[in-house]
Amino acid sequence: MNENLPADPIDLSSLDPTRDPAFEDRVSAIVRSARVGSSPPAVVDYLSRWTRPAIAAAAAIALLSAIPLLRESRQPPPRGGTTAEILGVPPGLVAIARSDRAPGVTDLAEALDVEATHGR
Amino acid sequence: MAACLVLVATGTPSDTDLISRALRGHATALDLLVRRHYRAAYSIALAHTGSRADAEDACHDAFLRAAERLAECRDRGRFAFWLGSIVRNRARNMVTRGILRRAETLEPQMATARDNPAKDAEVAELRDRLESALGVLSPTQREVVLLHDMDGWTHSDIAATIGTSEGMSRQHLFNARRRLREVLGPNTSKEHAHE
Repeated sequence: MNENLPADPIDLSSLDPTRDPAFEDRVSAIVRSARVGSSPPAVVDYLSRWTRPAIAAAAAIALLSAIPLLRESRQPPPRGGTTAEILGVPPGLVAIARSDRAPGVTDLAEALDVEATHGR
Repeated sequence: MAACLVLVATGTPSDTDLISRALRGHATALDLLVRRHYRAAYSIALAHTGSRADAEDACHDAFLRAAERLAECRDRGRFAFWLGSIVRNRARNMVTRGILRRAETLEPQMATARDNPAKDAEVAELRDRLESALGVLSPTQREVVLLHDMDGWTHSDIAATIGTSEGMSRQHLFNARRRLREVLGPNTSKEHAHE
């Protein structure tokens, strides 16, 4: 499509404000009236200045609150339960596993059925 | 005076440098900043108001606003875009609130400033024809063609300031030039104008 674009720019020089004899007066009027940096900062800018301190404070709080959690996790797990109980293995299956004989289909069904009944 | 000498001695100062100096109270820096960006600001204002007088008012107000908030310009290397958004908002507000001067006659200063009255009349006529022809374009097309053909902006910069792609900027320019040529006639390119 670019091949079809007219290459010549439109001559808009007569609209150029810097060629206007009044241009100097316009610039002078702006510079004379301008009060550089006199505007109070906008609310958004004011709040944005607090962004970094707020993030730093949040990070410090997160770090301080993580220390007790780290200490807690280093302590040994509470005793009083078997591994199977902690893992939630059904007691019926544990009993079958501990027994010497090979379990039948009925044994497994009962163990699981009992567990399902407990689950309900 | 010292500030002026420093600015001259340092060659072409960057916008970042000029803004820093302006914030320290150097009027010369602000003067240079206004001169450097006036044409682009005027292009944007003219695109949205549709008349030279209103564009001048919008530029004046926008530059004062920008000066007041100069410290808030965080990315000083992109001052032109920041200023452009202020000008655009100001021009749109003027249109929305209906506070436009619209078809005001040429200021006497413009009509009498040159030595050649015939040439003055010719330039004034061409200016009026161009202003009238720009009226057939959309504000976006006007902004693209004015920034590109009058202030020499690249499509990359135009796309960034009007929030579009470079491809769309090229398309706007193509459509704008075609419409302007339809309205103005064939002898409107820069080569013809300077013959």
